[in-house]
Parts: sequence; structure tokens; C-alpha cells
Amino acid sequence: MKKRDLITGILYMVFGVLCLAAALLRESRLEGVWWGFAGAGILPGAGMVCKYFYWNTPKNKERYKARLENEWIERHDELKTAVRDRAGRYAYTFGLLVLSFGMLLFCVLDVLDIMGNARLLVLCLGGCLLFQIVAGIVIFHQLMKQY
Amino acid sequence: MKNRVEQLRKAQGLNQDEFAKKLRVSRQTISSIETGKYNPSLELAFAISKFFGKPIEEIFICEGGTNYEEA
Repeated sequence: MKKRDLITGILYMVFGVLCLAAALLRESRLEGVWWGFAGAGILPGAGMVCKYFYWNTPKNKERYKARLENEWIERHDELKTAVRDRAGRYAYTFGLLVLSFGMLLFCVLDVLDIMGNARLLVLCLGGCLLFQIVAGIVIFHQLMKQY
Repeated sequence: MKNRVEQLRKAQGLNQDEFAKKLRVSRQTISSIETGKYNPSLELAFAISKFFGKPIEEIFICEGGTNYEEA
């Protein structure tokens, strides 16, 4: 592993410790957020540092090389890339359907007075739906410009 | 698309895993190519052809079913 990975791990831990200090020393309504960031910084950072020292021992060097090679193959293999792209398309379409159905459901619940204040929720879902559609079209056209 | 990849691979005494590692692809890709479920990209087809030292046409057999009109 590269020294850069060790430095990244240390920076994560430093960030986590700073957030932990903010959570412990200051009382605020954002305390939960500070605790969350502290955990998100310290634990992965510690993991990165441990991984750096583990994989850099002489007896693990060959295993690490093989592991890197396998990771490269998994990331760049053309069949898996094609399947991942197709899975992304299905997830995108399914996401649009879920958002649309969610909007309809909360509209009906609001009208029937089963759920109050659903209007904001419907507007948020509608915003997400619109954003996904527009983003999909814009990104498609941007990518097509390469060709 | 039919192909002779499995036949040529076995002639070289390689299993799918070893062959996949030599081409830097996954074993599933090799398996899918050999069973005809997946057609490799041009790049991979050329890599396979170079590996076996044979022209592409001798390895991959295109049997009609194209999406375009023939001249």
C-alpha cells in the first residue's frame, strides 16, 4: 500500500477526533451530527492505518499484489462493467417508478386525511423525480458529445 | 456467436481461471464467451486472437443475424 493511504487514514482519524472534541466540549443542537462525523472519521481512519501496516509486512506483499490484480480485474472486466451499467439502468427506472408511486400514495393519504401535512412530502418527492429525469437527460447529452 | 475458444484453451492445457488471468478478465467472462452467452469486445477478441496466434475469423464464427442490410 502507498504512503498516501496511511496519510489519508491519519487525516480521517484527526478529523474524527476533532469532531469528537466538538461533540464532547460544546453543547449544541448539532451534537448528534458531531458524534456521527466522529464515528465516520475515527473508525474508517483506524481501519485504513491498520490495513496499511498489515499489507506492508514482507510476508503479505505477494498476497497484496494478487489482491490488487483481482481488484483491477473486477473493476475493469468488460462483462461485469456491462452488467453493472444495466443494473444501474434498471435501478434508475425502478427509482422513478417508486418516486411516482410514492407521490400518488401520499397525495391520496393527504386527501383522505389519513396523513396530515403530506403536501411538502409530495413536493419533495416531485422535486427528486424531476431532478432525476433532467439529470438523466443532461448527462446523456454530455456523454454523447464525446462521440 | 459461436467460437472455438474452449477448444483452443483446452489444447493449451489451461483452465478457465488461468486463461482469464492471462487476459486480465474475470473467469465469468471467459465462461460466458465459451458458452456463447456473451460476445467479447473488439479489444478482447483481438487479445484472444493474439494469445492463440490465430486470426479472429478462425476463432469466432459469425453466423448471420446482423442488424444491418448486407450490400
